Amino acid sequence: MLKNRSLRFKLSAFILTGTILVAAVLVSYYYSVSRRLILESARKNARHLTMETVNSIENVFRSAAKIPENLAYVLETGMSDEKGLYRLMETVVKNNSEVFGSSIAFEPGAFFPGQDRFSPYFFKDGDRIVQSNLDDPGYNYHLQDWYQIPKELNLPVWSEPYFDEGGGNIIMATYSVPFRWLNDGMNKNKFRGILTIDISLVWLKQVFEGLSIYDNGYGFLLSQSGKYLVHPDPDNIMNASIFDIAELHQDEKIRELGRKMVRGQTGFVNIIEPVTGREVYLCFAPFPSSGYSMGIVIPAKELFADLSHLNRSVAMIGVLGLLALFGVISLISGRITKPIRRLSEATSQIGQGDFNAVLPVIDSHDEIGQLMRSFQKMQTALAEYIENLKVATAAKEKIEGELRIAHDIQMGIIPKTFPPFPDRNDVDIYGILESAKAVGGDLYDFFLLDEDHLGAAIGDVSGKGIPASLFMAVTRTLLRAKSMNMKDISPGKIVTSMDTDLCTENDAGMFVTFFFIILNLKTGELEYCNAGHNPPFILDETGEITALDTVHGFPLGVMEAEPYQTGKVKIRPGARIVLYTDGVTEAENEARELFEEERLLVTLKKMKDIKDPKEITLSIKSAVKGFTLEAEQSDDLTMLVITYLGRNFNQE
Amino acid sequence: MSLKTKQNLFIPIVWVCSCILLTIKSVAADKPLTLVLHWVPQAQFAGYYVALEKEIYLKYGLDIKIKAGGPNVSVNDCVTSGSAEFGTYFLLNATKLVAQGVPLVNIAQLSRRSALILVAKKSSGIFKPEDMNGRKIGIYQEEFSDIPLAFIKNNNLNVNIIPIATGIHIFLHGGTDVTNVMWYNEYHTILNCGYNADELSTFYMSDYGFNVPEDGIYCLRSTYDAYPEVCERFVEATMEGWLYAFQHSSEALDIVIKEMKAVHIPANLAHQQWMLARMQDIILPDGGYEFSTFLSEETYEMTGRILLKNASIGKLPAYDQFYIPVGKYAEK
Repeated sequence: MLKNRSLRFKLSAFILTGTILVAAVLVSYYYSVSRRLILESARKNARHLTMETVNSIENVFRSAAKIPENLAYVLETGMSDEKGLYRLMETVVKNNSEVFGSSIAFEPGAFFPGQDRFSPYFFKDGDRIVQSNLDDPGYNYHLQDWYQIPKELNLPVWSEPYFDEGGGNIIMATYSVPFRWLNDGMNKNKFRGILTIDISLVWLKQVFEGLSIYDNGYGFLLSQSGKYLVHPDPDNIMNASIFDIAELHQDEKIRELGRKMVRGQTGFVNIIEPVTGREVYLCFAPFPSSGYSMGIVIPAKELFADLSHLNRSVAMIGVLGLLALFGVISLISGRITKPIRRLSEATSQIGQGDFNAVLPVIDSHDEIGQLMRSFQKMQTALAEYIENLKVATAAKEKIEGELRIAHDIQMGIIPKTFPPFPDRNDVDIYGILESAKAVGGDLYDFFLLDEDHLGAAIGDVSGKGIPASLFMAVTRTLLRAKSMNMKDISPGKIVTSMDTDLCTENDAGMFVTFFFIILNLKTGELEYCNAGHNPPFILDETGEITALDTVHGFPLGVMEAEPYQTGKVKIRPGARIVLYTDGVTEAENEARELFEEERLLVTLKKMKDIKDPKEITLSIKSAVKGFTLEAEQSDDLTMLVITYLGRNFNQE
Repeated sequence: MSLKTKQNLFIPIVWVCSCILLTIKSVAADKPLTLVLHWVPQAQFAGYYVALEKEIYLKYGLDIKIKAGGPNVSVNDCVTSGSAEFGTYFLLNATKLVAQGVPLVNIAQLSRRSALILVAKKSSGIFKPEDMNGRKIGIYQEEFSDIPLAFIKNNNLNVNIIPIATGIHIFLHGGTDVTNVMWYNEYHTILNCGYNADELSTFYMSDYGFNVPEDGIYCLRSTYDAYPEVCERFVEATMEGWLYAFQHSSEALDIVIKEMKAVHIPANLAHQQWMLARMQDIILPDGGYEFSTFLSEETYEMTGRILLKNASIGKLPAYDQFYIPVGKYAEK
């Protein structure tokens, strides 16, 4: 995606992305740490406030609880006078502002023998203290929770809060303390009755309303069974329990919270308030004496309001900063990449062949300056190189021209006029030399030594190119010189003499395979000498093929050794002598197979009745070309065919 | 031809019947009838309140007044004194009253199964009836006590019976180990005091051979004899009220809660919701909406046996003296 964008764009994109990433990491780290700190501090504050509230309320409950506990002690240690009992109860109600009423309820017969129920009750009615009793058989106090529970548990118990219909319909709770016979011998330590005080719980609401918990936080109070005693929603008070709310909203988390609270656990949790659906933090703690439990609810939104505000500011600063950064990066990257852009334009000019394109001037010593200088050097070097290339190309063209001339000269020293002896009818000759390279190392030659003797030779110089062609020229010159100036000539003598000369000063270590014949045109006697060359074939007048396969020594120029011998055969008129170089037998096709002697012999067999040396030569050539097809010619292709007609032959 | 003759006959018959029907209707409508319920307004009686509020009684040509029960109201006093024509009773109590000579008849057995449960906290180590040996069992007085006592006897339990007037707090505080509760009422209160169902051992009396159904509609035999057709319409209208209540539960709950607030009773929606759902389980135990108000002789006999065994009655009144199948839902 970025591939086709400018350097300026990429630079800006990468730097900005990097900056945004770093900023995001920083901000989120800072945010999470701040959040944790705020939460931790809120937890501490909420815990502190909760415990403070619990303690202040506990104090009231504890001090109220002391009253019946002390009274029970008085009863147990011997209060048996009815009037005294009433006086004591009236005093208790009168002197304790938090106490709304107090009762003493006896087991059957435990005060007046034979009386089932005896339960005097004193309570406040405005400023008056009113005496009453709870003996109504329909009410049957022995079966009431305030009596039955402490009796069965044998423990003082705070009751579930209740609406007191008689006492002005206010929420009350009753503290019931069991007391026993202490001194009565028969009933010693036996349960005797219950002593109660009723206290109003109206003040609890005020305590909770006085709590300052952010803007919309609040506190609530649950009874032992999870019922709401204090809650912002009046419909819940003394009606619904936290478990009812959980059930209505099918909220297991709230139910679990309720279970923890009524079991007297303490905690700080993060929940979704079922009614409002807002996220809140809740700190809860129990009241050890009554088994009630309170909670403080802090709306998360308000808790983190400052942080959110700060976050918004940070985000705004961040956005502005990034915009500014974008501007600066854009400017700087534009300035940095400007010379590169100019360089790029210049290089594209150079690329189109304008080596003199003007490069931008840069004084800086940074990478771009270095690049520019390197580029200048490259431009100069390139120009020089192109110049050199021109010179070299010219030189090469000159050499190639000279090679062509050399080839022409080489071809010039080889007899190429056919038929060579148009006046004679006893012999006909045809030869070809096709070089693999412009200048080859093969040679053939023929000449008349006298009226009756024809000298002919074929050779193949080691190597190719100019050296080979020069060596070939020397060989040919030597052949002519030796043949013309030697008395009592024979091929062996001439070849030996040539070898001697060629070996002298042959520092280049070149050599030439050489085959030389002298044919007596009168008699058909054929003398020959083979210095390491392919044996020629004689195709006689009947079509029989014989190889002149005697080899008389190494190729010429290798070393001075024994003199080369001369071989002799006699041929009859109509015989054809086929001389060739290894360019024929070792011609390669594309499969790298060689033409081989066999194919040459097959070709020769077809020439049984053909006397024309040109036709024979060209037939062999076309057989070779038919074999090699498209393969590159690997060696010089040289042949010399001599048809011996003889004098008698023509006369016949 | 013959068809025409029949038509001519048919019209006066329809006219006469309509007149009779209208007369009865107007008589019944002129004189308001009172139904007294055996407890304060709650979803246990949703069908009656819905039938009244949705004018189903009116549709059946009945002008019904509902008198709420409560601790200070005796259903039997209201019915026998004639201040109420109809009353709801538990089957057990009605059987006892009839055995004592009160001329009541059951004209619809609404409840189809017992809702009575004994509950214990698993933490107290009670998992089966034998585990209750030597423990304190809280038992509600009077009408609720017969079956738990029979259960104790049947299982040969040696327990400490604590009579309870009201509430489950003594059980929650640990003052009793086992308590008897109604499935649709106090059992839910225990759950919503923070006890999970899997923390409680429950002994459904219906599983222990005491499947005595509870709520039914009763009137004096004389009332039925005088107005059998009114009784029939009353029962059928009531069942239509229940059908509506079950099919429109939140509307039914609104109606019930309105009634509760009218008499200043704490109206706890979650609790009433539970109660209505359980009433549906009790009135329609097989699911669907196929009501039956039929009281089988077997159920009646079984109820009688429990009462006889507890010596709560001396002699079981005859089945047809106690129960009259009334209306279309009373077919077997």
